[in-house]
Amino acid sequence: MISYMKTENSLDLLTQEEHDRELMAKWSPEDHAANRALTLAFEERAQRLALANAVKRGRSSLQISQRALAKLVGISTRDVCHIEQGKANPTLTTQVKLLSVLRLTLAIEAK
Amino acid sequence: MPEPYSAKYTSEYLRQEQDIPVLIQQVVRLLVLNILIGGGPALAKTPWLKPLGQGLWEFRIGGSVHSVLKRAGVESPSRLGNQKLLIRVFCAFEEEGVLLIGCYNKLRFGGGRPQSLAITRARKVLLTFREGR
Repeated sequence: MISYMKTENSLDLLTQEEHDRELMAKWSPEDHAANRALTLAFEERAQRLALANAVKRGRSSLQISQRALAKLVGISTRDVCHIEQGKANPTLTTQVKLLSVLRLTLAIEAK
Repeated sequence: MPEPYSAKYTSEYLRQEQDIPVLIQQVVRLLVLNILIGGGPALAKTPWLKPLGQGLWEFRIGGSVHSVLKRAGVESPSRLGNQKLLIRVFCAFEEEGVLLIGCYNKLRFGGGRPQSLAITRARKVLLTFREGR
């Protein structure tokens, strides 16, 4: 059982952790497996958005256009545009080239 | 990047959420976490959120699982079912974070009066929350 956070007028509130524990309690092992796959897909999206933000900020601080950045990296302006929109899934080589031009680096951190 | 909002869920939200199919629960939970809580009030400028007045908002999730995920910029994992879903999450952006009030299954209960009643109930819960501070 979980302990609810009660306000003075008895409105039961759950934290994210409590909510997740309660919701997932009734899931089967197959449900948990499906959820892991779905969670990974969302994490991949978050990584793409993090790269998009880093490229936008880096390009802004260097005050260069998407076209100029594309030329320096050796990719198309459209590719830069898609990366900044978080729509592209660039190869590791392209990411390293991009970040190098922008004087940034990739880092791997524990969750 | 702005700090993501924290979230508080009402027990009624959880109860309504537990009443929908598990795949839809999973999709809704991840959309709430990544789009609604991750985006915060800035999401108000997008079609994801509709204002219902007095600080109550409707987070709108509708279509097939694949189309909803595509709209969120997420590639659907293979072997994922493609059920239809039409969920309205009633929420508010409060000092404490995002308050998740109701998870209305519009596909099951329809719009019109049942949805209006759910919104009225969500308003009362929000008022209770604010009065209880």
